[in-house]
Amino acid sequence: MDKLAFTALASIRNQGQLRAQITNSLANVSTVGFKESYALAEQAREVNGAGFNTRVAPGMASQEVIKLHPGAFNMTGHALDVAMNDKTVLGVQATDGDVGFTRRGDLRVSATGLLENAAGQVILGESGPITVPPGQLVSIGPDGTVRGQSLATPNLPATEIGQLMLRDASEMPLIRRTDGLFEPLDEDYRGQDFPQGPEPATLTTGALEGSNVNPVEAMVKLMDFSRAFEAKIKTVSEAKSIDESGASMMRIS
Amino acid sequence: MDASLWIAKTGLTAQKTRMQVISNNLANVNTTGFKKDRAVFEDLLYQNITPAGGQTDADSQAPTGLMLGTGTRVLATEKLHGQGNIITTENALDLAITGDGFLSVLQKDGTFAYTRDGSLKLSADGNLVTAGGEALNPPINIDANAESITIGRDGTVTVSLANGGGSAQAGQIQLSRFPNNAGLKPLGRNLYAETEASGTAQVGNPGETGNGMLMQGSLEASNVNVVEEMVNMIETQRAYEVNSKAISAADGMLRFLNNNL
Repeated sequence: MDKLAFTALASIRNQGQLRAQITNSLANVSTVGFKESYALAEQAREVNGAGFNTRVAPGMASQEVIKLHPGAFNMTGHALDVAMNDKTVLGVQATDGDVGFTRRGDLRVSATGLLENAAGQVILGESGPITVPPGQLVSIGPDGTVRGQSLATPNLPATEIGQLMLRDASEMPLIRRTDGLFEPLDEDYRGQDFPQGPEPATLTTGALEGSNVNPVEAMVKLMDFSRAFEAKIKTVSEAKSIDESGASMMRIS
Repeated sequence: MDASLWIAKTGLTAQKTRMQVISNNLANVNTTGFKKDRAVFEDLLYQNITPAGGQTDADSQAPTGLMLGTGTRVLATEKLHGQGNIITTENALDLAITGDGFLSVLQKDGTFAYTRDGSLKLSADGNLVTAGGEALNPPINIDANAESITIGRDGTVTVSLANGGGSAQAGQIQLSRFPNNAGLKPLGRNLYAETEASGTAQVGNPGETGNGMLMQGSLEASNVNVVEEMVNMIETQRAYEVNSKAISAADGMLRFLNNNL
């Protein structure tokens, strides 16, 4: 069989993965704080073997770096909804014990009094998880300070119960973990806290950040992929007909 | 078959669930004391196609892994306990709570439930009950000779008796507050139940220690904002459409493949 068909096949497979990535973005167009990844890059790789070096197979360059562009802010007015400004990310406890980062800001108090997000991930403070003492109303300041106001003594000033682990990631590229959380690209900081960037890490309270997926861009890409796919299938069917004509030439009539 | 078909399907399912939440909010736009719900979306687990640090060729490694997402889902719905509008009804037994707090009622099974719906009624034996028939806790009994009922901002219930009987105090309505209103479990019938997440009820008189006040002759309307729900509905519909477009693109590609090979 002609090698042409296999080159086209490799390209179809890679583009299938790209398409899966875009479809995943489209599916998460309503997920709070969802961030797209930079598109996976296709990379040409020379295939050495017998004959001329004419074959170049497409390979996938792995580049699952998070695009931290802001999504639309939706003012909800809810005291525990926070939206992270600029490139601020919030530290949460991943289920495997690592420190993960997220842009999800729909916080709540769990049954055990821990501050967590709506996805059930425990929010980390500067000194571990933040426990809200029973009977306290929680408010969060723009700098990430968590304050509790006792219901029994509303006239006393609110007391500080923790400081959210907010980090500016403008100089630290983040990548995705399998659980959807982010972690630093730098291997020294994988799965843990990373140093604060130059910008201040701040919040907007009473707002939620929507997904930063651009549906128009995704739709155009899907159209592009459909046509590219058709062209590649044509290549495979072309290879088939070349092969067939080769076989018919050999036929003894 | 094709991964993107199934990923887009998760998007369709989640948007359909969100539509149910929005429809329920809109259906309850006239329910007294109703609190709107919000659908909580979450991205699903990611598949690790190329692990980080994997060899890309003989002497170079992938700096990051290649991860493919598998879609989205609606994880939960969350009640948003914002204040609803106050509607004046001029009915002596209608109570609106302005501020934080719930009326505590005794259910038929002996457990307590909490409500913001203050459209109270008198039961056959003179107790103050909710529209659903659950008695207030602590119980308040209105004398059969009462001519009029006055409920103060602080919850004191005073009746003036017929035939020059003067006025008498019938009781004190109390409010229950929770540290985490969002953790209350909605029971339907405008009632909520205490859970571990909500914390235990802090009972007190209206107007004291940060509790809300009572307003006689008014009701608290649903806190559903119709315009907001409409915008959410448009967003949901469009998100549903882009996901179905992704399915039809994948479908078109598979059809082309079947026809041309």
